[in-house]
Amino acid sequence: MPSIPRMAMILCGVLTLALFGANAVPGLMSPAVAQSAPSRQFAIAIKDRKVEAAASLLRVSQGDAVEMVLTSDEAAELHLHGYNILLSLTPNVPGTIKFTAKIAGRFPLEAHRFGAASGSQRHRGAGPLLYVEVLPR
Amino acid sequence: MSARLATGCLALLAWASSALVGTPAQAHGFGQRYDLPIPLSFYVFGAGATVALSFVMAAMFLQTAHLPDAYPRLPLLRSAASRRWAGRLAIVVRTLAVAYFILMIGAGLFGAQVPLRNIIVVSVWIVGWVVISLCSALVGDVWRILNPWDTLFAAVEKIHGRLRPNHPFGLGRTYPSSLETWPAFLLFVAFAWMELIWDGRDVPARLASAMLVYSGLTWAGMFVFGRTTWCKSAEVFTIVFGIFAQFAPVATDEGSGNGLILRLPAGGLLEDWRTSWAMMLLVIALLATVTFDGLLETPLWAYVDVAVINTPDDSLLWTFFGFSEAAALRVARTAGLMLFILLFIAAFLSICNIMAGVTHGKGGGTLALAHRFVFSLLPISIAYHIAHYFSYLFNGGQLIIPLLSDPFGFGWDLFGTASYQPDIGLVGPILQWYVAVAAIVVGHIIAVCLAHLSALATFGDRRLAMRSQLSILVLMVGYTMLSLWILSQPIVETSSGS
Repeated sequence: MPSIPRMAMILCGVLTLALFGANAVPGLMSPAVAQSAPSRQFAIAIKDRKVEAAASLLRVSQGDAVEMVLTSDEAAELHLHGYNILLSLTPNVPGTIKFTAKIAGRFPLEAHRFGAASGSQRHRGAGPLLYVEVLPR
Repeated sequence: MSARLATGCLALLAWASSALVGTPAQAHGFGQRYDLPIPLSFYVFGAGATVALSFVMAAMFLQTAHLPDAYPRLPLLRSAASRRWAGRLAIVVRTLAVAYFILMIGAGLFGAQVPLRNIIVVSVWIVGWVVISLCSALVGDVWRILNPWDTLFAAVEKIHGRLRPNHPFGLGRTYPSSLETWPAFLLFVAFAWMELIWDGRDVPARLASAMLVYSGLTWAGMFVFGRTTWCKSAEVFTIVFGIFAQFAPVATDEGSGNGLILRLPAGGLLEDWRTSWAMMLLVIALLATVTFDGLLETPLWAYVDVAVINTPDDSLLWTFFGFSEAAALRVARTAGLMLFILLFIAAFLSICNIMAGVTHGKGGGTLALAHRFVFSLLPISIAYHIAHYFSYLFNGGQLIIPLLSDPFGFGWDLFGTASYQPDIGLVGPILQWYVAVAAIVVGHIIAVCLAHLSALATFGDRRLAMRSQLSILVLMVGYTMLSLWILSQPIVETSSGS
């Protein structure tokens, strides 16, 4: 049955082309990567346990030196997942998270605690404060 | 009878989950992923390749007049000596699996109640579910050897046989054939719910209790109906991993009964499976639940979560049912999961209905076709498993390295690996993207091939087969695009319910 090898060859060919094709395209079409400045700084204000919409997704490139200066209107325990960086904030005193973005990925910055332990069952808007997206080079 | 058993089991599981609430989970639970969403270019390319290749495949099958009804099988373990060695190896593996099973439950019950410091959580969700299902699909039916419930029960049977040679072990009741594999289907839905929604999924003691409850159910079932009967119709993992293993290249030799054969991957899916209703629904549920897992991480579902949390304070949710926020989210997710399974079943049946229409009932009615074609969906399900779990497997799976040295979280260092820090960059996003898109496109192609071959076998006529395949092609392309769309969405976590 000669049709099977021919079929396989066509398939392999198409797939190889496909994978190489995809490789070439992302640079053109991937979401805008901020210019490849080696050092990136962000000032982030946390108000009412939230950040502004513009600060809810920080995009950096792999290898960038990232510096996030955070200020909160109440005490908070922050945790940058993945990079595993913890930061305790006292009200209205800026704190800094500094790291080199060695690993690409999408990392949530979460507040593990706000103020004193809250007693109420329902606390609106739980979940990560923001995400840091480290795009691969 | 067994349906009652299954409901009883569910009730027990629910009890176990509510009775042990005392142990708080960490704020961020288990199974975090740091994947970047697939970029638009990969998505567009993957979707395009899917559509294009589907037509290429269709065109090629149009020319193929013959049906490759027999695929090559290569026997392994040909000599008696090799079979003896394989048997010995199997006993060693069985013993290790049982030891690991006991270790997991011991650690869950008595170890530190912190998800990442107790071996049970990683063992159940990564080693147990992800690794074994992928091994089943890509290597062979490993669960046959690993199944600790089967091994332990068989050991008891053997010891009983030695002590009281003329008394059979167990009640030896006949399993009601009308029950088919319904217990396994119900148990699988329960398992999927536990994996995706249950708040005890990352609480070691609750996970261990659930395993004990399931052990009790399994052994009771084996005692009443016999070990092999129970495994074939109700032991959910035997059946689910067995379904995955239909795709695998290594299989047991049906002819001789002993020894293994090497076959074409997916070859096992070509056989005419006289599937039952329950089995068909189980295959669809497999597909639906893993897709729902992906959906839960999309911004779309985050909107649902936010909408649930933001319902007014005086709505029935809080006043009448008295839900906590986390419980309300779980209820919404449970409803979503059930709806998703029903939606997939409905979509598949309506496609089969169209297929029955265009072929004028030549291959049987809607249901006959549904039973015939459901297994051709399996490659897509496996592909989505790979796409969804690939980085999780390698990045999250490394957690097992420190845990093996300190399974209970007591600060031990048995093998000197307790301080190992997982390298979360082991599988980077670019590799993850390639693997995900390649898996989905390839899985899709295999599914299209299988469906075409099944159609040729069912209808016997090429033109009828082609016509029948158009509707199923639409379903598969649609499903592949949905999978790619989910992978292209940023992974969002809202409050995880703990």
